[in-house]
Amino acid sequence: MIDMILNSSNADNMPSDLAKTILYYWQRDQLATEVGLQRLLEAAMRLEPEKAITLMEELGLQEAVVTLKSLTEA
Amino acid sequence: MDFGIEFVPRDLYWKTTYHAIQAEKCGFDYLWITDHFNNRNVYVSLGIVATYTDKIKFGPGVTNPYLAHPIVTAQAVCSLNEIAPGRVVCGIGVGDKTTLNMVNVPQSSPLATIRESVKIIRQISSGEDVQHKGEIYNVSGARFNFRVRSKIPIFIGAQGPKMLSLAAELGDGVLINASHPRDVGAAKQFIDQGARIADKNPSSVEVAAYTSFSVAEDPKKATKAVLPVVAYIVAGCPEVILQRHGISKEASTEILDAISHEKWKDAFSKVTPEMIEAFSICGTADECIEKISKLLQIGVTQFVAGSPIGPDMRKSIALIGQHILPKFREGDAM
Repeated sequence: MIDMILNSSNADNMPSDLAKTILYYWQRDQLATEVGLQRLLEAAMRLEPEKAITLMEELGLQEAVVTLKSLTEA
Repeated sequence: MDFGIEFVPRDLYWKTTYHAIQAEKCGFDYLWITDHFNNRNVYVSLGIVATYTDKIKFGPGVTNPYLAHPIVTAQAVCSLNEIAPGRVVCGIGVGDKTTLNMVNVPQSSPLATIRESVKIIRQISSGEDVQHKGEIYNVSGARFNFRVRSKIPIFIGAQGPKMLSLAAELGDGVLINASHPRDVGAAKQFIDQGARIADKNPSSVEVAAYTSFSVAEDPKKATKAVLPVVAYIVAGCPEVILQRHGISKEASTEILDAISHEKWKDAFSKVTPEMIEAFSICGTADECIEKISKLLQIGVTQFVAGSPIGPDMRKSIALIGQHILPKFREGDAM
């Protein structure tokens, strides 16, 4: 997910407050916690929604896929 | 040996900062951010680094006294030192000719300008009133309204013999744009000379090799990433250095010509393996370890992994942290 965010061609769409939150968690080794992953997923959905959904499908996280798809369709 | 890393703030601030945090976690000792007007401001970038890191040392690599009066440079680094006490270093040099030419600022009287700049920075950052009447600057009664918490080491970027000697005479460290032992070795004699002028033990002057670096698991990808940087280096390289590596002036001129006409593919296709060998450290982690070891053996005290770092920044920093730094920390690579 980090590579998806770092290498996104839509990186300009990252809100600064979200970027700073992610950096805060990264500094404190908390990116792999529930809240850290939530922020990463939020960033991934903003920058690369289709790739983020594909990643969730590959990880077998079907509930997440359903939720994310409904958000993109909203 | 200390390990430094260079970032060019051409990228979004949060990407640069992500990699800065990563570099700290991997064990880098120093982080240098380049200063060119056409990239993000160096001190804004360093301020964010100061906030989101905890122990890595950092500073401009390098600022110049032509676009920023040394008083302003001192103000900036001393202010940063308040955010991250004891972690700030000040890299200063004559700057990049190409970008200075864009704003019509000449690099005039470089030796006097650097000498006086370093003096002013040291004086005001030590809490003194600066009274300086020199060839370049005239400062009377300048002092900060805030206390500077700790001494800020000054590293001076140098290329030619006189600047190398001056850098060692005045600075705590010398930053040399060089990747090959031959170039570092040639610089070292002038560094030692400058240290002796100041009655310093030459070994007390840090010698930082600021390299063009690229590491990847696939050596071909590492080489491909470094081609543009080497092309620019060769295009602007003094003839004496080209000769040291058996590279002709004509070859350099051909690349310069292609670059000036923005024929990038043409320019990069003219970069030879000899040029890559002379002006970069690139390859797999093991190949880079071998080349870094040679620099260590001739007296380099800080190895700086400069642009491009690798084809994928995050993966290349991880490779350095996992495979390269541990070798030198254990002493295996000697």
